[in-house]
Amino acid sequence: MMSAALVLVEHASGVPRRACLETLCKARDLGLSPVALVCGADPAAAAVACAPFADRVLAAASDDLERYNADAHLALAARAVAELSPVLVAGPSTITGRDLVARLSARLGGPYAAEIIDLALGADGRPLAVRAVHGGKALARIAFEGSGPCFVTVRSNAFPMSEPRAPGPIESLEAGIDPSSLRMRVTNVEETGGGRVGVTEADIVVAGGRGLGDPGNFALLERLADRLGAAVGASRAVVDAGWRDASDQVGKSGNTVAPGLYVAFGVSGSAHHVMGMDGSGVVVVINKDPNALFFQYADHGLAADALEILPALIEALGE
Amino acid sequence: MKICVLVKQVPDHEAVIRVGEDGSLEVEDRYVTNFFDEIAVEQAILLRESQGGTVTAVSAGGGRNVDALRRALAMGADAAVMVDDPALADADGLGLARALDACLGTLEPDLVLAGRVGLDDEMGLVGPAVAELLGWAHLAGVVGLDLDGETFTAIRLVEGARETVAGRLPALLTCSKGLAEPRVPKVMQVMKASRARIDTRDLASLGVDPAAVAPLIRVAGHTPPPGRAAVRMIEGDLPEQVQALASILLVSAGGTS
Ligand SMILES: Cc1cc2nc3c(=O)[nH]c(=O)nc-3n(C[C@H](O)[C@H](O)[C@H](O)COP(=O)(O)OP(=O)(O)OC[C@H]3O[C@@H](n4cnc5c(N)ncnc54)[C@H](O)[C@@H]3O)c2cc1C
Repeated sequence: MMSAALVLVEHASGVPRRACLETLCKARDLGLSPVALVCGADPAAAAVACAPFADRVLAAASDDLERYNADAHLALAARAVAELSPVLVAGPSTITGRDLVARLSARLGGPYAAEIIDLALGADGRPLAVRAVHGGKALARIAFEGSGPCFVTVRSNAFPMSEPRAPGPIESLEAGIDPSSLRMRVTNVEETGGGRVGVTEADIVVAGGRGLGDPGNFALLERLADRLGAAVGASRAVVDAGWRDASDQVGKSGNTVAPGLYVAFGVSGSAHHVMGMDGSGVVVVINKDPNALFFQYADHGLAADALEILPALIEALGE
Repeated sequence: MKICVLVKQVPDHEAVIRVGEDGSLEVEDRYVTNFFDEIAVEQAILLRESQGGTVTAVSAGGGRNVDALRRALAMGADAAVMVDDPALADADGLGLARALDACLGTLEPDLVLAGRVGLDDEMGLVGPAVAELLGWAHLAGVVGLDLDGETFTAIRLVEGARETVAGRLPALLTCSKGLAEPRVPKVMQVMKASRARIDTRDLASLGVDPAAVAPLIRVAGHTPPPGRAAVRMIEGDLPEQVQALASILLVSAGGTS
C-alpha cells in the first residue's frame, strides 16, 4: 500500500490555503497517497476544493472548529495520524498552521521542520526537506530521524499545482469534541485586508513604503493591486506609522512571502524587508533614488517618482 | 503571579553568514537577543509592574544564551535560570523543549511567555512544544494581552484576521511584534546584570534522560540561496518607462498561476 501524506487543511471562507493544495499535489508527485483533513463549522466547500487533489478527504464538522482552536484541532489531527500512520504530516506555514503542526509533533514525539520550500523522498522512503534559515541567507537540507511520521509546515508557492483529477471520496469524521476540553475560545474576529487576498497567499504582491509619502496614496497601490489581482504589502515603516495594518507587513518582523511577482514602490530595501520577500519570483522595484539598496535585490528597477508612475501605470494597464 | 520568559541569543541581522565548502554555516560572531524574545521580556515586566509578581528568564543550551539571560536581567527580570548540559549541544527544538519543560516544572510559573520564532533557524518549535509538554494551552502570534486574575484575553494576528481569544492560566503565549516595545536597559543595569548570578542546572538535576534530548532532525548541509541576476534598469522618458513597466508586470503576472 502507498504511504499516506496527511495534509492538515486550513481554509478561509471555504477556500483552502494554497500551501495545502500545493502540498497535496507535491505528495502525489512523490508517489505518496495524499489525504486531506478539513475541519470547520462547515467544512464542505473546502473539502470539495481539496478532493480533486487528494485520494481521500476527511471532513470534520463542529461549531467548535469554526476558528482555529488548538485543543480541538489537535485532537482531530492526532486521531487522523493514528488512523493513517502517514509518512508525512503537513500544514501551511501560517501562524495557526505552525502552532498546530509543531504542537502535534511534540505530542507524538516526531521530527518537525517549519516552512519548508522543497521536499523529496530519500532512497529509504523517508522525506528530505529544504528550508530557508537566517532570513534567507542560507538554505538548509533537513533529514528526519526515526521511523514515524515526519512533520512539516510548507511555505505557499513552494510547489506547483497539478491538474485536478477525479475527486477523491469525502468521508465525514466524527468531530467528537468534548467542550470541557477546550481551554480557550475565540470571542471576536475582525477581518483584516479589506477582502483582498492576503500577502502570504497571493501570486502577486504590490508593496508600498514610506516613499509613497502619505497613507492616502495607498489608494493608488490598491487600484493597481485590484487590476493585477494582487495583495497589497507594506514596509514596517508604514505599518509603524499607522498607514497600513500589521497583517500587510512584509519582512523579518512581519510576513515572509514568496509570490511569483513582487513589485515595490518607495521601499528602501533594508535587509529586514528583503528577508521577508527574497524568495519571490520576479522582483520589480520602483524607487526615486537611483542608488536605493533595493535595486540590488531586484530583477527590474525603475528610478522614478512612484507618485508619477502609479497613475500613469494604472491607466496604461486599463481596467 | 510568577512569569517565566524563554529567551535565546541569535545572530544579528547584519551578521555575515556564509555557506562553507563542506555545506556548514559560517556565522559572524555578532549576536543579539532574539527580537521576539525581547518583546516577551518587556511584556512580562509590564505585567509585573501592573500586577506584582516575579519575572524569571529561562534559557537552554548554555553558551551565548547566557547573554540573553543577562539582557533580560538588565531589562528588569528578577532572576535567570539556564539549563546547560553537554547533551544539549546538538539538541533540536523538541530536545530543548524537553529540557525547558523539566526546568519550568521546578519553577512553577502561572504564565510562560516566549517569542513567536527565533530569528536563526526560524523553526518556531520550542514555544508550542513546551506548552504541549507542560500540558498547557498555547496561543501563537499574540499582539495584545489583558490579564484579570486567572483569566486572560489575548489578541492574535492570523492571516486575514485579528482574533480575540479568552482563556485561563496557566498558559504559554508566544509574542509577536506590536505586543510591547522592548525597553533599552541603562548602562548601570547592564553592568549589574553582567555580574548577576545565573542559576544553572544540568539535565541530571532536572531528572531528564540525555537520550530524551537526542535530535530528531539533522541538517544534512547548507547551500547558498539562489542568486538573482544583475538588475536591469528601465530607461527612457516617463511614457516609455510606464510602457516598459506595464509590459514587465503583465508578462510576469501571466507567468503566475
Ligand atoms: C528588529 C527590526 C525588525 C524589522 N522588521 C522589518 C520588517 O519586517 N519589514 C520591514 O519592511 N522593515 C522592518 N524593519 C525596518 C527596516 O529596517 C526599515 O526601517 C524599513 O523597512 C524602512 O521602510 P521604508 O523602506 O518604507 O522607509 P524608508 O527607509 O524611509 O525608505 C523610503 C524609500 O522610498 C524612497 N522614496 C521616497 N520618495 C519616493 C517617491 N516619491 N517615489 C519612489 N520612491 C521614493 C526613498 O528613496 C527610500 O528608499 C525592521 C527593523 C528592525 C530594527
